[in-house]
Amino acid sequence: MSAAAPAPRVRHADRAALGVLAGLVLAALLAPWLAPHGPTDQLDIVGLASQPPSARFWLGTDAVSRDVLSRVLHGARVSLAVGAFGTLVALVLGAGIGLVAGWSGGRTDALLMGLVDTGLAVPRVLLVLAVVAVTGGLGTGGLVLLLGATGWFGIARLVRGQVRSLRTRAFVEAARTMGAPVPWIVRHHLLPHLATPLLVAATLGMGQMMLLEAGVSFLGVGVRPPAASWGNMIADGRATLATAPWVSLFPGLAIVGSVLALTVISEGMRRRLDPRETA
Amino acid sequence: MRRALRAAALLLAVATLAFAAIHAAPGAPFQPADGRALDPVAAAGLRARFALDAPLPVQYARWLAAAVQGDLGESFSRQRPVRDVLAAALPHSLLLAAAALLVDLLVGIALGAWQAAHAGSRGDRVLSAFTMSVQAVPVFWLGLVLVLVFAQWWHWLPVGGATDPVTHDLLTAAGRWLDRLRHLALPALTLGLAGAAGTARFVRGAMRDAWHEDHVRTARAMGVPERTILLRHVLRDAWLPLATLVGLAIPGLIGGAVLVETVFSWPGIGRVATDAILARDHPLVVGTALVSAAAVVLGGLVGDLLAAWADPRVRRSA
Amino acid sequence: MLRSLPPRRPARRATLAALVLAAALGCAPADPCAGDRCGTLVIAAPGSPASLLPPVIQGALDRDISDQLFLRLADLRAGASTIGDSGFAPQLAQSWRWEDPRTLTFTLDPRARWHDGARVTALDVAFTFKAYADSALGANGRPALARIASVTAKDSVTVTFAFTAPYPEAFFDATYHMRILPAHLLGAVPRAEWRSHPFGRSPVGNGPYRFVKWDAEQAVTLEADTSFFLGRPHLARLVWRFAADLPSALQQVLAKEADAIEVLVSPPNVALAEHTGHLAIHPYPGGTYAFLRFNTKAAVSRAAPHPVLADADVRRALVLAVDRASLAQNVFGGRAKVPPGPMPLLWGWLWAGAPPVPPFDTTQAARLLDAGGWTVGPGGVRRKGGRPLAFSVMVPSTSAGRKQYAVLLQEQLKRIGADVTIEEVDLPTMMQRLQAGRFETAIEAMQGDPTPATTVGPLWESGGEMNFGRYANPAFDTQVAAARSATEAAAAQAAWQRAFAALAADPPAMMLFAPENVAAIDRRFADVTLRGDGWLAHVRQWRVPPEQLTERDKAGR
Repeated sequence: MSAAAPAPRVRHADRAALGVLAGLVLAALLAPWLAPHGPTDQLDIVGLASQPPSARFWLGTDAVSRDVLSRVLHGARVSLAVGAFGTLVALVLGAGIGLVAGWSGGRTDALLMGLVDTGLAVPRVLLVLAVVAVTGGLGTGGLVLLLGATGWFGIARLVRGQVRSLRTRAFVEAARTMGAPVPWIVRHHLLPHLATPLLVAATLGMGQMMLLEAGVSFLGVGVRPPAASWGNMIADGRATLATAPWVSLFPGLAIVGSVLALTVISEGMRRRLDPRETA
Repeated sequence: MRRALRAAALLLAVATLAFAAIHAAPGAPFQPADGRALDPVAAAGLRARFALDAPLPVQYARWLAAAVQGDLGESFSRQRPVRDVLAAALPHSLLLAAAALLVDLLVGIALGAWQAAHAGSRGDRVLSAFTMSVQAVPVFWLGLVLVLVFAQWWHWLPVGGATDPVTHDLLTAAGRWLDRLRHLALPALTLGLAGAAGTARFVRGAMRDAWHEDHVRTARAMGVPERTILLRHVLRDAWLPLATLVGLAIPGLIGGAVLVETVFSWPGIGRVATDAILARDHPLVVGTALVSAAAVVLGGLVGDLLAAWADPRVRRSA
Repeated sequence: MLRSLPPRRPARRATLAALVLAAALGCAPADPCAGDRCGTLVIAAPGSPASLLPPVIQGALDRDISDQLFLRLADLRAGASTIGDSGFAPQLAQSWRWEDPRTLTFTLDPRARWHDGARVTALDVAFTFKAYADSALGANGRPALARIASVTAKDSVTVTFAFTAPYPEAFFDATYHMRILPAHLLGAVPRAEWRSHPFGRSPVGNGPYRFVKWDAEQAVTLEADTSFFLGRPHLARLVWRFAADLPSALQQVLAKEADAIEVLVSPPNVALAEHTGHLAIHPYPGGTYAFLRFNTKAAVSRAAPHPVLADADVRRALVLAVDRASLAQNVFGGRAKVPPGPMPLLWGWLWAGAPPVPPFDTTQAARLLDAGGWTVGPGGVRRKGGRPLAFSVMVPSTSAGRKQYAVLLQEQLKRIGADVTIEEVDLPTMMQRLQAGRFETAIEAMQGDPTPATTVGPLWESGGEMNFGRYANPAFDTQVAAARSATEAAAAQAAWQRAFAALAADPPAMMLFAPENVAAIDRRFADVTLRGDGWLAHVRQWRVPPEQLTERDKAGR
């Protein structure tokens, strides 16, 4: 009946999750050497299109005779990069705006939090769809920026809350009365306290980012062809879900696996860093 | 009162941003969906009719003046008043969101409570792994697989739509309810399941916390049966955070609905909004943005009311 | 579920009694659903309509539905020539005669009625012409009416068309584009309001089916007009179900929730439909063709020639370098042809004796490029004077087939040394950029009507309003003019073929595919015939044999 009971399992799961994630990152880095074919190579558009998994094509081929295994491996690069960099953008924006709002208070705070509320009031998928429409189509870099720029609202709210409470703490008050410059306070007092919740939020957010990339690909505004991302592979395989399920199954499993790994890791971090749970 | 003002400001901000964004988007409205080029004379006529060549601030002022009086303009692509389009789609969206929320809460609380009561057991571990996995599945992909299995292969449930177009009107009242439920089952399950996984994890945590509260310990020390403790004390303590969670879940339900409505051809706001953006249907884009913002505002309100109702301190003081 | 729950209308027993009584008395049964005059056809359609009022309709789905509600004066027979009037069958007009080569008089069928009981009159026809010719409405086909000077009602059933000059397809233009509208219901409505007028959502027509209801975003239901003057339709009910997209629509048909779908598009879909056992596959000539259009002018400064694509030899080489037959095989599995010119399969008469499609010949393509100074440089990309052989392909993000083609083309062109990037944009953006000339190449699809005269000119003639690549070829223009003024079908055919040969010599586009459409329709439907210019044109003759009726067919009867 004690909270410590699941602890050994957690460590086990954490290690497995880290293993999965490391494996995927490794696969992404080594894709050109691991993949039996190029990700965009069309092997034989008449003879080898939509082949089921076999000894020759471990994960089958897609509608234009590209090797699914090679695309899943290369897709790992794009998907993980979109997830990681998108999260980074969201983190920087969210932390920056949250800091400013929380520290300044008053009208600035009200205005920035109003912006956050506005952002949260529109479904994110629609927001991404609308911005893609506005820009007339985006490259992968643009997509990363966009996913980040629509993903910082929650983080900003989190940071602002933390900063509001930190501001009144004795050590911060002391630093202020001693005339320490604001950047110094931020670097030495605020960021160390923010690091933990931000890291947890970022790990979780990266998984969400990857799911969102898949979602917008489904609506036709994801990573552009012929580049492979797990999201656009699932979307491409949608039309043949019943006849050639392997085309979307394997990238789908890759997404589930990595999001799951990220969730487990963020849980583990939270548990380790949250004093209440370890008590 | 302040809350109402804030809500109004939020709606105005969302509408303004949507208005600016969709007008800034390249691509002309009124394009036939079959890819034919529109007769230039006709296109000019339509632009004139909807005053699309007026300066943007003028267009915005006109839109705002009309909107304040409840007139949201005429949809370009649906060729009827935006209000009518929204009025037809909104009940379907609300029904789907309510059903999904129900799935979310029922499944989530049941699983979470069971897990909390059996923390550390094999079942707890299996369920934890399961709920985490469900949250890792892209929601539209879950929907596609459910359709394939339950509708296309096994014919248990319909593949999409909100009612049967041929027989619905001919059924008895009970039959019509059943028809609706059958159509609702898969989309609500798809949308609700991901939320349920989150709720289960949340409830488990909240109840574990409650377990260590003083009054629960006291009750246990006094020999109150475990089952009664669970229902009377622990679950009640977990209500408050749960109520907040409901408010937070509503934007997610609306966002997820965009994809689920497409997968299941559900005639709701999400699908209308997607179509509107792709058709550069300015008035309809702004209209759907307003509706979704209003839903989020209301969701927050419902969450706060539930929290107030669940929180014994607030309840006592109220 | 229907089996367990009785229909709400408790009419079954009463109907049976009436039937027995009628049989006993020896008069025609009053039952609305007897013999093979029953049956409900549920059609799964991607998208949803906007209006059912013919002159404000833009989409193909809207037109499919409204064509069951509103008739033309005369109907073109399947595959018949559009020249002269011999290929036409009477519809609202019982007969017609030429007063002189510029004056055509129709006599309306006196039995024709609006669904509210009013007679269809010559005034309706004159009213319809004014509406279609009004630029405020922007009706589909309005440009084709430019040579009709006036339409005058002589008496209640006689109406006269006056043309500005005699021409071979005058009869086609007078009858094909316009669906006759009810002047008594729309006469008082200003045309500016037609676009969103409630009539478009609950129309009163004169066709074989009458409007019943429209559930927004979900379904439209029509019911047979039992007193239809050209014969009562066999199917009692038509229902269109709207799906979010093609895969969803297909699933409805596969799961037996709908009976018919217009096109299956891909070979896996055809295989799925065949596999179910309850669906019959119906191939019919497609009305579309698709092509990769080259912009001969620079995308930035619209007057300057495109640095790569203005060169006819480069365009010829690109066409030669793509194995288009294999591409068609990959996407359509043998159900599409590579057209020798801008022509859909629907124009079957043009395919006979058409010029041959240039062969797939990478050697010849390489030779042409080498001769033009495009030599293979680093990374396998050809260059000429420092400029790479590179361009983008614009493709609509909503078309799965064309997206697949873009990916295939990119890979094929890479092998000849062309560096192609794919630009996916949504349809409004694509149309705007095409019209502004801001593209290098684009994969477009064209829906043709039964004659090349309507669409070939605007697309490819110098100055044509849909000639987005600003292509100019005087030899082609001359042949098109000759084809348009030919008074014999054979002469027109020869002139069109000469025109297409001129295009092939200096290609404005790479013709990609002309698909054969494949519809899937439930096997219980008999006498199914499909027409290329409107797949449901003969739906009132389809029927369900009484022994095959399902619960759904009989629901509410």
